[in-house]
Amino acid sequence: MLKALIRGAAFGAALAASTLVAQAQTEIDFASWQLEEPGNSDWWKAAIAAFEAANPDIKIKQNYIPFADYLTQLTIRFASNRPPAVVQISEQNYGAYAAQGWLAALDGRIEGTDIATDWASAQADLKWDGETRGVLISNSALMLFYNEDLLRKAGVAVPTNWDAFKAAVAKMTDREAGRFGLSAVTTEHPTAVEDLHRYAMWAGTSLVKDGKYNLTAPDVVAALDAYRQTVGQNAPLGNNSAVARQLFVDGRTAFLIDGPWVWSWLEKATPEMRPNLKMVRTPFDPQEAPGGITVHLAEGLDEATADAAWKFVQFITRPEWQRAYLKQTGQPAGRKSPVLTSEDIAAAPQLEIISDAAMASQPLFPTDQRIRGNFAEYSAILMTAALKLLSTQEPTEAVLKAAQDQLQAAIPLD
Amino acid sequence: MAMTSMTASKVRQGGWLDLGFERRRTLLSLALLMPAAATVLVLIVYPLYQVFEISLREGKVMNFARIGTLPLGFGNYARVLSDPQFWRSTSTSAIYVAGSVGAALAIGLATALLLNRRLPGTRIFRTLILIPWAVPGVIVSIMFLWIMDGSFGVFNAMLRDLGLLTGDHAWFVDSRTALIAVIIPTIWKTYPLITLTILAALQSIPTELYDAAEVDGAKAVQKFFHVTWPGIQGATALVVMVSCLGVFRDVDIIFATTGGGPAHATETLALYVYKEAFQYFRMGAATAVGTMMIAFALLLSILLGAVARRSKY
Amino acid sequence: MKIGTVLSWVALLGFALVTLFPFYWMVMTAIMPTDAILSRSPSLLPDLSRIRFDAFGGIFARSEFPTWMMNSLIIGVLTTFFSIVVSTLAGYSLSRHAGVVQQSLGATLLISKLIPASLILIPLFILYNLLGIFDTYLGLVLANMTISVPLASWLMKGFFDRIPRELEQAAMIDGASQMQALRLIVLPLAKPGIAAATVYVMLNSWSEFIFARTLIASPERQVLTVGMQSFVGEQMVDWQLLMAAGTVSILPAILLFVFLEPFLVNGMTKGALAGT
Repeated sequence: MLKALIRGAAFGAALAASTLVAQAQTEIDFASWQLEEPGNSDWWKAAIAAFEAANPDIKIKQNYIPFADYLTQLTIRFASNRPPAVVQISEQNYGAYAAQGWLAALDGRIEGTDIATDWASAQADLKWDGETRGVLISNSALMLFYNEDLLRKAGVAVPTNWDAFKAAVAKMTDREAGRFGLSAVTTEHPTAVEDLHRYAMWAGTSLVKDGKYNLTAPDVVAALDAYRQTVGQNAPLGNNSAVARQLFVDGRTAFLIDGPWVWSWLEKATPEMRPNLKMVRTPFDPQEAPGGITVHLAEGLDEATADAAWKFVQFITRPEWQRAYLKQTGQPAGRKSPVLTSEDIAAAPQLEIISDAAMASQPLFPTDQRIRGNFAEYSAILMTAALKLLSTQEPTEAVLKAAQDQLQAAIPLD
Repeated sequence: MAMTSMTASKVRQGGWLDLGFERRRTLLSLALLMPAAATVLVLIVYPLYQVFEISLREGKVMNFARIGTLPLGFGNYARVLSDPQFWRSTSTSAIYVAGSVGAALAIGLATALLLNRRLPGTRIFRTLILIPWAVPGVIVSIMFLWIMDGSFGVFNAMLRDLGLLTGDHAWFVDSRTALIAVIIPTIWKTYPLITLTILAALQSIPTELYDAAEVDGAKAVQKFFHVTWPGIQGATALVVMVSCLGVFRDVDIIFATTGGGPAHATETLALYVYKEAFQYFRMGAATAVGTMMIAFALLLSILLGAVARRSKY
Repeated sequence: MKIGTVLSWVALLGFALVTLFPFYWMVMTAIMPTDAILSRSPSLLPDLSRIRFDAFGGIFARSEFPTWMMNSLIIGVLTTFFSIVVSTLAGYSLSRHAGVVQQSLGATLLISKLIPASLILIPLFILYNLLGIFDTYLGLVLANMTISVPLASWLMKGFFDRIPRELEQAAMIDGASQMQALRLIVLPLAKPGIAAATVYVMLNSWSEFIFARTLIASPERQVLTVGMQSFVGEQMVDWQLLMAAGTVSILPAILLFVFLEPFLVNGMTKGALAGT
């Protein structure tokens, strides 16, 4: 399918070239950690190739920066005033860069395009100081994965609501047999902070309410106590997300809540195990969006470069590329109206499930600008709290009170 | 002799001689030193200056071009010195350095003494024991991250087999054991240089001294304190200083394994600097701490250097 | 055989085994299948029937691994060559002329060892772009030199201290200039020291990571230590590929070390410590 797109673009380019006056080449730097990430890299490279074929006067210089070091290297470039023209950042980190004034305002460019009218709601959260400063390439959602075989053997039904889920997880843990109910992140890893927000949201409350920190409210304490019980008692300790996933794929755990792209990861299971591993839309609401992939233009580019950069961004937001993205990576598209054809859905029904979940999803993290601008600190304080809940006996209320005090001191909310 | 050299040189060379012998020697010596000095200083002076300057500018700006517009002041230092995490990081650094280098010293001394005994197969043992030094820091982290993994680490498995552990222990995740967990790979990487240095020093102690001590009826312990130790004291002080500075400054191992957590348990000063700079975008605080670290390291070098020089063999 | 000797030997053996275990485990992880390794009681001894070398094939197929190794090699050789030249000259100077200027310059060489890497990255990045050496071999070689030259110079200094000045002076009476004396008389005697310094610099350069990841951007110029990070993706750590990559990447360093280690010990014995 990608090849068809490239051929189409090349044909179009040939036509266009015959009518274009030769222009000087503009080179734009594009930085991403996904350029070598399995699944994602194919899409990016195809998109770049097709774009260059359609726009012979623009050359894209690919800057692959390994994920482990991505933010550091990006910061170095921005702080040195030599940023890439187009840069990919995950939604969670966007605030810190926007707060420094490093990202260009895009409202003028977005006006009149599909992005203004037909884009997922998360796009609206990319405003900073009143201006939109990024484009959502990929939305996000959380799906429920479970091991059907394990559940059947233990006589546990697939849960249909939040309480049933917690009960099912507890029932599935059997340490003697080396089996755990849940695969979850139980180490110093950003997903641990995500989990705190997830458990609060699914219990119907949230960590930040009406513009104030809400951690000491009784319903939040109860929700995070449930986190302590469910994750702390039923997931192996010390796991980062990769190990947690692998455990599920190897059939050691019964449940996993993770991003939709894990569907393709399930193919790593042995042929005997694979049929047992299922993915469904999370049966408890709200659907949650931990944060998708966004692209941004750097502030301060000269007009030619900025125009070229915007052309690229617009290119990858086209329906055919959004469709390719969904199909290749299993990640929801940024575009709101469905991009899949009926053949797509027939061939891969899970894609429709993923898209629907994403469209209904709510942002997982607070959107207050002060928090987003200092997300690293916000996250660090909550990470400490999460790990305390998981690996110590300190009372939940005390842990949350301490965290709230630290948050209020570090990022005061009025 | 110097006169003869000078005369001889005078006969051969030209206008260069007009400078006078001593002057020429000095210029030549400086010329020889220049490439090294230039390489190091050019690439260090500018960053060093930047670090120092930024630490004196108040305000939260990451744009280095605009730093010059910020007001001068000691605000960063005040902020950092009143941050409880700074003091916690200082003590964490102290424990990390003392623990790693201390244990590495003990291991280094023991292995050097053993290797010096010229037992059969010493050559092979020496090479094997020194190998960890050849491994890049990033790979050391990866190795130990895997070995000490909470659920699947072979380390835990072995402890379970030995009956010392029931269940799992997430070494890098439990804030009580995280510091120990990062000290272990650090020791592994640090001791080879100490072994090497002490071994080299041991081998340059003249055997006559041992023979003389033997004749005087000295026991093994006395031989150690009166012959061995004075001989290796200088070298040991030097390598301990170099190792301390290295461990104090490096973030590779901690960064790759715990990232400074959990709950700041392994957040040394070097990591504190990194976080302030690249996660919280507070360059002022980062450079303030950095400047203090440099000052402290300088002090330490002067002190230990004096000890090293004092005990020349 | 004395009991003390036997005990010492056993202690050495025990220690060698413990210290080499991480290597052993790394190789084991690379050749055993996932489920054998990701288990709560992984077997310490390899199950010979299940050995797979896919991981090794994987790293060469999936990435620019050979390019990275080539780059590490090129950078290593260049760094070593220039560092040795510069350090030898500097060490000689520090040894033969002990004036105040020299001593303080020598001391300032060590200052570079004191700065935390996090702080040096941004100014260095700015400086490199100003000088136009960003993303070049030259730039990385220079950065690596700042790491190795200080200690290598002190190493050479200690070595030269052990070579009596009378030798050069005799040569100079016979009509040689100081530089000629250095080249023809002193240097040949300094070979063990140079070998020791070479090992030190080469290993440092091979292991270098922080500067390489900041100062090199193009994939075709990327070195091994940084390239390996690409096995640690956002979502997953492929332990087997990572361990296989780790094994292959330390092999050259270990080989170099095994062959040249006698020189290193020799050089340090004869030289480095005389200067203290």
